[in-house]
Amino acid sequence: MGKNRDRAEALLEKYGNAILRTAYSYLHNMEDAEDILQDTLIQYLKSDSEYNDEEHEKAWLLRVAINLSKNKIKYNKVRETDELMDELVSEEKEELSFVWEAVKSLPEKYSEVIHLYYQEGYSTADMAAILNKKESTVRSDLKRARDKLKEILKEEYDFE
Amino acid sequence: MTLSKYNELMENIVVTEDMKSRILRNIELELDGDDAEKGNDKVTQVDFTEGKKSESKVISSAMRGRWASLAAAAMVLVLSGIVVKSIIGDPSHSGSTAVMSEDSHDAAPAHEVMEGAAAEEAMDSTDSFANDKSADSAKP
Repeated sequence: MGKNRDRAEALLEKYGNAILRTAYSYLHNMEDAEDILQDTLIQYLKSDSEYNDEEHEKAWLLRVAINLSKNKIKYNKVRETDELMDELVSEEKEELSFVWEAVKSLPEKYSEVIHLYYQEGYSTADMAAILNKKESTVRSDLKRARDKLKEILKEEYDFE
Repeated sequence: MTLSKYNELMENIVVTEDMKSRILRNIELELDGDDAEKGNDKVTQVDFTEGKKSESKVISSAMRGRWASLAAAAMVLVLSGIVVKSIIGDPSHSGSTAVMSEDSHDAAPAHEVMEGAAAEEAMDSTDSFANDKSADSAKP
């Protein structure tokens, strides 16, 4: 009975933040992101798979978290609170709130590559495997995402 | 760089202790509940009475429909048999045969009546034929 708890705890320690942040980049609220984190770990524990290394393991977890997040957006109503934005505003972290607002306003295919590239440090090849897309598609999405982001930040928030 | 700020803002999103205990509790309930169910299946294999009870519930619920359709088919057969019997065993036919079978001493009179009726019919037909002939001869 304690075996599942121990395994879940180890996974949370190792990958919890990464999974949570990935889910948050899609859902923009903590409650939904927490649900995704929980469901991702349950799926992993139920699958009882073994992975060659941590990178494969993490990539599998993020892929599951992304799919679950997209399903939640597609089929369920996503909560509208954005705790991160509230926190950034309350702490008067203006620049960060501008960046977050700009990333949130991007289409999903752009915001997801921004997150995986800048937050997780994945190569375009790795991102293509996680997102189940062609590498060329990921590369062009990433370029367009960065250009769009710069455009928004410059026009809306006067960023250089 | 602007996008390095993305990492900075993401650092605000962390798994808190409250979140961790909630998730671990839910995972235990989810997975250990599944394990418990698997365990119960094993128990029912050993405990025959419980297995039979649950099995009988499954059987009764599954067979209910089948029994209902069989009962309906049987009713249709019985009803159709009654209908066929009533058609075959017509009251008029059954009455005459009854008379013939029950009252055997009256069979001869009945036979005579029928012969008489047949003779009458024959006379009627010859009369009508004669009338026809006269009518034909009357035509110009």
